[in-house]
Amino acid sequence: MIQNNPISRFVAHIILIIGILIVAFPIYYAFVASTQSLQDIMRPPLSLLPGGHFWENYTAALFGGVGRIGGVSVGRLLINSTIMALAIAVGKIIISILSAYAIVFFRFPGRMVFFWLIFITLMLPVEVRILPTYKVMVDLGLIDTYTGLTVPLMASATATLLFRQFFMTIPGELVEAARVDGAGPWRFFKDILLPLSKTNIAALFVILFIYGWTQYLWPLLMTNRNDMTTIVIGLRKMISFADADTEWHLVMVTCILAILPRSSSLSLCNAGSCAVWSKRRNDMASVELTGVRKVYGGSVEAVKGVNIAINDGALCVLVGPSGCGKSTLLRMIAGLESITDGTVKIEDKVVNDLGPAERDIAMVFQNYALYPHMKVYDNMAYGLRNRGMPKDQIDKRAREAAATLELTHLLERRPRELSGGQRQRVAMGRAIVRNPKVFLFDEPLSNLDAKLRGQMRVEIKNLQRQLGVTSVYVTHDQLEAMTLADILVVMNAGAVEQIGAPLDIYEKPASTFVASFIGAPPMNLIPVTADGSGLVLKDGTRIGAQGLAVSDKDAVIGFRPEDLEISAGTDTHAGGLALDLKVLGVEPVGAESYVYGIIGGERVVVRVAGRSVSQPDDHLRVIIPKEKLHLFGGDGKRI
Amino acid sequence: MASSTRVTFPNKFLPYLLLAPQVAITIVFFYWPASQAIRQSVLREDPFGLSSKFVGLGNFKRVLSDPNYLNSLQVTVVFSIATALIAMGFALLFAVMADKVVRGKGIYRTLMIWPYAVAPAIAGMLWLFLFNPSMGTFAYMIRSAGYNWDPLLNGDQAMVLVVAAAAWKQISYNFLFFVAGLQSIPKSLIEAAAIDGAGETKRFWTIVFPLLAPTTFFLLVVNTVYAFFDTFGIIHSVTGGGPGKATETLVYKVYNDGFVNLILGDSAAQSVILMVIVIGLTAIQFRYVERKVHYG
Repeated sequence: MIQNNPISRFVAHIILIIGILIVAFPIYYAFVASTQSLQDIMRPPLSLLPGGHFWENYTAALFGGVGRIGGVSVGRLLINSTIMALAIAVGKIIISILSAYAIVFFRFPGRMVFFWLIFITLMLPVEVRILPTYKVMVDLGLIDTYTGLTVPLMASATATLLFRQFFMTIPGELVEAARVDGAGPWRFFKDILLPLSKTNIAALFVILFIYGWTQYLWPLLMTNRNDMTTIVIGLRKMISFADADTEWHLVMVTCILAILPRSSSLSLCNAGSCAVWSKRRNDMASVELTGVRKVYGGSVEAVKGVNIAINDGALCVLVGPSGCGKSTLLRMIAGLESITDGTVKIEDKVVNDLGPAERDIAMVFQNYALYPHMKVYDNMAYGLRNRGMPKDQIDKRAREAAATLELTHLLERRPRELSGGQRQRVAMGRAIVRNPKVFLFDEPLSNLDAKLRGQMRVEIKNLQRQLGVTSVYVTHDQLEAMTLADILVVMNAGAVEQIGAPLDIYEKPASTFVASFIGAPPMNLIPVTADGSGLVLKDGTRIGAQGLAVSDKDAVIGFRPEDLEISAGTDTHAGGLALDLKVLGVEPVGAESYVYGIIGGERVVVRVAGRSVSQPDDHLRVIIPKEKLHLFGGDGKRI
Repeated sequence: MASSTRVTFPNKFLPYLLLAPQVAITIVFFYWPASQAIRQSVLREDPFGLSSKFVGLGNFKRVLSDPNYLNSLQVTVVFSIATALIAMGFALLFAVMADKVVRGKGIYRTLMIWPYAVAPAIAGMLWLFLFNPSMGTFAYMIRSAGYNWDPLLNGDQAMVLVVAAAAWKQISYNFLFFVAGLQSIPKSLIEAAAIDGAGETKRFWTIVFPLLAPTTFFLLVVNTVYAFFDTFGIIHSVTGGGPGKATETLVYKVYNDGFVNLILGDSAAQSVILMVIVIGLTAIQFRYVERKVHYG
């Protein structure tokens, strides 16, 4: 921070004080005048200090009739202005929040037409189109009515756009979480959207109230009745340009009264209330997917005919690279995506046409999707409340779940006050209180740091085993997949590459894709060609292929980094492959070392226990035992 | 992976129901009158209002060659530019000063936004009270200094008075935006400039002011729109467009011709011209705002 010199700061103060005088003086002086008698006001210069006619002037204006506005009191005008400003502000907020809700959270034909229909009105303030609008108002008989004064001003493109913009910042997972928690459009609106919009509504209310209060041309034209007009218009009527009979003391009282309500602001209070888990049910569900397909826009096939059966209580992990369709598949099980083809069964019941809330599933989202305005307890209780569970039972379940997850001391906190790991546990808690038939996990650990990820992985595994609930877990992390899964499903480009127990898949990958995706570092894959007598590496090296039957001309041999033996001599290992490896570099990581090198023109990795003595440019003889060798055809499928 | 498309509720009728109130009001009180105005702007009624015929752009030509209309266009431009420049100049000066002081920052800011919610008409009233030739204290002081002050007779003085009232009311709004704009300028840039040997004034003109350009441009458009349309109340309550037609702005002229003098003939064409002007201004605003604010 730069320190300004004292002189420059002194000048700044002087300028600001002058500024304050300019800005505040007219208002202050109006107040002074409002406390003076008319005679004193008419004899300038007027005193700078308030006079002694405060009560007299204010009661006269507020309650007595003012001649120039037809004997109507300023009090009446204040009430009129308040009614008008309130009606406009509340009306605008309700109408625009409903419109924004429709535009953001629904997809329907003509959506963009409606959006533009509303958006365009932003361009033309009422002053611009006052003449034609006035004619319409006359035709409709709305002159001199409160409806005419307020309703036409209630449509607000600005407020709609503001709400739309705010709604679009609400993560989609929150909608999904609410749907899984059994909330329909109305409950979502009432329980999630409105509470989250509280601050925006309050701020907008103040602005719109001021907007209604300061309207001029509209009330000037829409009513000729003095007892219906607003304080701003009444004020104009109280002065006259020609006559000297303007009651300036009352005019100034009215000015002050008209300025006052700006301080009105809303403090919407947050009604904080409170919320886990009964005896485990034994009727575990199994999940069965048959020929499940998902096609977007008629042509893009995101999921291509998937068949998976998950036994009761098993943890099934869907793993694959980004865009392989695993999340889509999970969301189809959840009911958040429609199913193009095939059936999803939960507990032997086809659920294709059931909404997420009716499927009796619980979901843990990647970003947790905790309701930010609810306490931990309420986050967990929300889904139960939506299902109409009695309060005492909700409380019991919430507390049990909290105890299971060691969240008891955090029940009164809000999500923003929790650490990443704690939020993760609350998300889990919200899933387990429901005691659902199926748990769905959508990359729940990807927002955590590596250390916490390891801990939570163990916690999830233990919890799932303890609860015995059938679970589907999506991840792109093969280590997570390997360690968690009872059944591992490896997906690629919308299709299942392999299903099986993790170690089976590790030992017998069905394709080069699986081989390279599962295991770290991945399996070494070397393309070879087969001629009549054996296998030839890319660089022409002929290798022995005793007993390896290769019918394809092109094939790939694979071997895990840990399955290589480094041999001192130049002998060929009986029943294995002996290859020459040129060392490129060595990475010691402590308990083991990785030797990077080239075999037959292809890069490979070898894992060596302990230290490695190899140096770059060394040539090593490596042996791959036959039983550790994987052979894939030209199409990448295992032979 | 999280899906990038927006998650929505599957519902066929509800969205239409939710949109109904807004759309109904918009069509009845916005599209209908606007389309009427456009229709009438190309028609001319006979003196008895019995029939009307299509005259194309005839009404526009007549309006645009009317010296009174051109006068009011000129008045509007002068009034708007003066109001915008004065309101923004003072606001920027005060915002920069408020950014500089350490003590009393909060008090200055609070007092500075006093007039924020004052209705334009009331702002006009407050200034009329101070400068009213018959009893205004400031008018009295000006006259005591030997200057002939009478905004009710002198057109230029009337213009000065309405510009002062209009600009005064807008200072608070601009001040808020400039303060926010100043705060968004990274302190490190100013420190770097200081290390580079730029003095306080130089820092302002070479670093701060250029970086404030987005705020300034935004405010320029907002203030112009304000001066064009929202100041009707000031004109109506302080000068009534007079003396003569010295302060008759476009909006005031539409009102005066249509509702006071009841010359409805060209009013539709005037309305359409106003719409075109404001659409132009808004388009500029959105082209710019678009870059800062995401409506998509």
